[in-house]
Amino acid sequence: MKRLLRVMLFGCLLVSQGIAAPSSIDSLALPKAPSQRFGMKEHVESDPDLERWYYAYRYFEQGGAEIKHGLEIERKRSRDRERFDTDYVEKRRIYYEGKAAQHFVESTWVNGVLRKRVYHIQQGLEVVLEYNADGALKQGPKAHARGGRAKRERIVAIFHEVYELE
Amino acid sequence: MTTEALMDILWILLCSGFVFLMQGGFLCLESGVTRTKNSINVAVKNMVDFGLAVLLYWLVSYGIMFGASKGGWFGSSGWFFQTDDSFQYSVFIFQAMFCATGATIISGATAERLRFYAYIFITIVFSVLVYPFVGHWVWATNALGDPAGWLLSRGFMDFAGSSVVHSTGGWVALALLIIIGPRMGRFTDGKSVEIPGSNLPLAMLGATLLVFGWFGFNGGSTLSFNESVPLILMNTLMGAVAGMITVLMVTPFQKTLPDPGMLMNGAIAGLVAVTANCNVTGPIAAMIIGLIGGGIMMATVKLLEYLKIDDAVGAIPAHLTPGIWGTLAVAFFADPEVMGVESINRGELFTTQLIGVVVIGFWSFCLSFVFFWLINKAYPFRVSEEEEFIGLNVSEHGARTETVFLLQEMEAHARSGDLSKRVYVEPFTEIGQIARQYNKVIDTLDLTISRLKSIFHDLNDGLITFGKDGNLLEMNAAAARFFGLEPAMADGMSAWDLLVPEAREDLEVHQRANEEPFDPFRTGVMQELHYFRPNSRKDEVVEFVASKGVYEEEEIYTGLIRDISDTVQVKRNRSRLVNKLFGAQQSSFYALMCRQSLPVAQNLAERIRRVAKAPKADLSNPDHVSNRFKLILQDAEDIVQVSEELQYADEHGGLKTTAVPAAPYLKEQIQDLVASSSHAALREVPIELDIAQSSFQIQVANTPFSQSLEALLLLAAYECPEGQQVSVKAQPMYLDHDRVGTEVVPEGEYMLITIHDGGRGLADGQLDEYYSGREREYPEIELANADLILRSHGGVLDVDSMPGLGTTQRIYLPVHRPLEDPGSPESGKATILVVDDFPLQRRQLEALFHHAGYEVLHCSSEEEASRLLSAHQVDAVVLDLVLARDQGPSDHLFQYIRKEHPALPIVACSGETDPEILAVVVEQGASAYIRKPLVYDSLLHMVNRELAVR
Repeated sequence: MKRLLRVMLFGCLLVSQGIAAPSSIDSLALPKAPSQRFGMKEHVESDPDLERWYYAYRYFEQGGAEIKHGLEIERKRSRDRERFDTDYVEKRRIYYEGKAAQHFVESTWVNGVLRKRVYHIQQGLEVVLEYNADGALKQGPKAHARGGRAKRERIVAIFHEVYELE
Repeated sequence: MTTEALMDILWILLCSGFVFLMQGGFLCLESGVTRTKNSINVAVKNMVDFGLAVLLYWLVSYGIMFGASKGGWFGSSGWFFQTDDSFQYSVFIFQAMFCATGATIISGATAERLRFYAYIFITIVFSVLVYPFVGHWVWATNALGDPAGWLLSRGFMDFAGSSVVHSTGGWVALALLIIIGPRMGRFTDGKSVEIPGSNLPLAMLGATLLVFGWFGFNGGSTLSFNESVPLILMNTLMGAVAGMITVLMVTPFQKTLPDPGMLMNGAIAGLVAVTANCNVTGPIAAMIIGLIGGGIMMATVKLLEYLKIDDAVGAIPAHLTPGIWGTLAVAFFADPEVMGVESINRGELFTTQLIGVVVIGFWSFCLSFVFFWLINKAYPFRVSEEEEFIGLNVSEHGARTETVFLLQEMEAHARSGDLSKRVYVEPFTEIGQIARQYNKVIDTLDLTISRLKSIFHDLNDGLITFGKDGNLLEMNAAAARFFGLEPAMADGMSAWDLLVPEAREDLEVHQRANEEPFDPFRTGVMQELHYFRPNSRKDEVVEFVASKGVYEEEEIYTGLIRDISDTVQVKRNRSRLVNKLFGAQQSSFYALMCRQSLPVAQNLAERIRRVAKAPKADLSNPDHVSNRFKLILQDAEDIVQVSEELQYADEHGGLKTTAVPAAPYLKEQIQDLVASSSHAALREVPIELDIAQSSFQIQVANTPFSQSLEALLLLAAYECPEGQQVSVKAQPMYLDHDRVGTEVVPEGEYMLITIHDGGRGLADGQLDEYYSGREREYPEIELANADLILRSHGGVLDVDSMPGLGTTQRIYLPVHRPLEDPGSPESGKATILVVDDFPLQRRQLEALFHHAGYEVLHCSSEEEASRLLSAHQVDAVVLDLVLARDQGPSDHLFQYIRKEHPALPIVACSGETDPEILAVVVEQGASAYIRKPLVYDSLLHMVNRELAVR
């Protein structure tokens, strides 16, 4: 019995990838809110005639230079000018003292309805949520994997908090 | 951490608690439906499998189940689980409870026969090799929540574990049940025998806890507290209700009473069935799935009985098959709206679900079967028959409950056979009450056995017991006495040697040539054995009757040996007498009667003839005709009377008698006989008649009795010498053998008629042939008929003769006692005190005196007697001189009564008489003494007499 147990443990360790559980979201490089700083300023550009009709970022000044820190929002229209604020793609990124994070969130709006949102965690690792024309979340059969939804919701919740999403 | 995240953690931990409660539910359920002798084992297994499963889950199984997936087959990380994420801890706790639940299913199914350590091994195999692999295939997702397990990737859906937990546990249980086989007595002669549970209310509580816990089992499987939870709980509730309802609906059609076990398992089956799909169906679908789940459970029960697979708690019907059904039901009942999809390819989904069910079944069953079969060969999983019999509480845990302790004591008691021992009575417990009642039964048994032993040993008849090998088991004192042995010598002796001894010089046995050879094993048949004792030259006849009994499958024969030597002798004598009286002489009795009626008839015929031939002149005279017809009528009436007596005698075997006052009747009869006898000798001889006055009555058949009396008087007249006279006396008397010393006439009240001829007398040799000799001498006297007629009256003719002193004939005619005995006092007039230590004797005497119209008091001791004498007016005492059997006769009470109540009549009685005591009693004035066994008529007569004198 002991021998059997040892063999089983050995086999498990042999194929193991470590003590931590990588299937857990705590193994992911999820976004973290940037540190709080005094004297933060916000830069906002808005021109409906431009393709990038909205651009805003937060920064602080250091030695006369603007150092991005915090949220950066970029909105580009995806159709004609008249529908610049109903059909567009928004990309949000976080800067940490001038350095862009590897994660970002890209949202696609059609007819004023959020239809798709990609939560990019790192290269090749992203959560994609799609919504129908009524704004309801679209789910496939595999979306009902036990605990899968919970995991996604937790990831999304973190992104929403850091990226100030609704 | 956001509020939502905290809510998720709270919900999962809460549900973990619910699922943990299911462990308690399983414990109660399994303990309740199994027998008391195994309840501790069942409970311990439920505790231990929980601890073991959680430990193993933490060590390796969580990693296998939810670690980084290796191709979708198993996880490969997360050993000795720890994390910085508090949410992950809550998930681990929740999942660990599931693993323990799966292991517990096996515990219930295999209950009451599995070694404890074998179960630990099984739990390890289930928790490490079976469950986590299946769990990984179905539930493993990657970090983003996307499917990682291969079955999940194919679209297999088992939301909360119909297959992963319940079917897996059921498959392993099935493999084990096939290996270890059914419990002792579960299937007897090809028939299923229900083994009742020990505590069904407890089992019901367990089932209720399971239903409650299932809300956590399904509700928590979302692993977040979101909007889908209420629907999942609703569906869970519907499943439980539906499964139970199925059993309720089907039971009336099965024409059986509602089975509590089925009701519980119906609810569980409904829950298991909705577990896989409660997140993707609506309440109506859940209800249908639950109903079908309950039906599948009932069908599975029948199937297992047919296959002779013994599932102690119904785990396979409740978990395995409903689990399969629930998993497949996803394909039929999944609601696209609930799932948030536009459409469902049900065919594809069903195929996927079916593949999942088959693979999970194959993995769980085959792996465990092969594994356990091999191990079982080397280390048997099952306890021994003896251990199973005494129960696993004792054999596996050494638990000594009061019940087991009592059973052990009773077993030891049965082995020792010592009826003087009693079992320990545990105070203030139900078992103590049972023990007390058991002791009472033993008390009664002991008393009964003692009495039986006493009867066995004190019996006057011999008793022996012997086995089918013929060896004696026991022999009572009477048998030992008869065969001249000691009772202890029965040991080692055969019944043949005892009953048909071949080598004994002091006892020879003879077998009649025409009889079947003696066989002590021939039961229910009376066999006679004839013994001869050469020393005493004594013949003895024994009657032997054997009977057979079966005690604990062993044949025991009992032989009753009764010495019937005296009976045989009496029978022989009686046979001779009967032959003499009723064989040879019965015809002469009838001839006598016919002869008696013949002259009357001839006379009658002559009278009629004369009337017919009479001259007409004679017939014209009315007085003359009237006289003639009167004579004819008289003769005719005589003939009718004789004919009636003959007919009566023929029909009733005796004479028709009427009661008459003894003294006047006898006086009148004798005077008439002497005056009107056709024999001159009787008319001429002087007769001295002395009839004592009395109020007694006798019953006589007038004509025959007169003829008998005439014959005896005539004989006396013939024998009476000239110048002498015949003396005839009649007096009432009570014949007491102790006083008279004759055995010829039975004890009782008689009218004694003594006829003494004062003649030559007879020698001894002539007296033996009294009847035949005198009949030859005086052919006209039919003495034998006279004797026969007197016997028909219940009387006895006794003859006493001395040569030269004459012959005395004594006729003992029983006194007739009418129903209303004028000699008895009226009710309430006299009170009799009966003092006797033998209860039966007291009751009989009470009945005797009560029937005779007396008031009766009775008691068994001197103290009671003196108390009754002081408290009541007593008119006579019937006193047993032996009031204490072991002390012999005593005159204490007698002297006390004489001193305190000098005028009170005392009738003393005793079985064993000490002459000295008796002398004292008689000297000091006992009114009467009668020896036991009592002749009640004599006793009553004595008491009547004493009271009359008083």
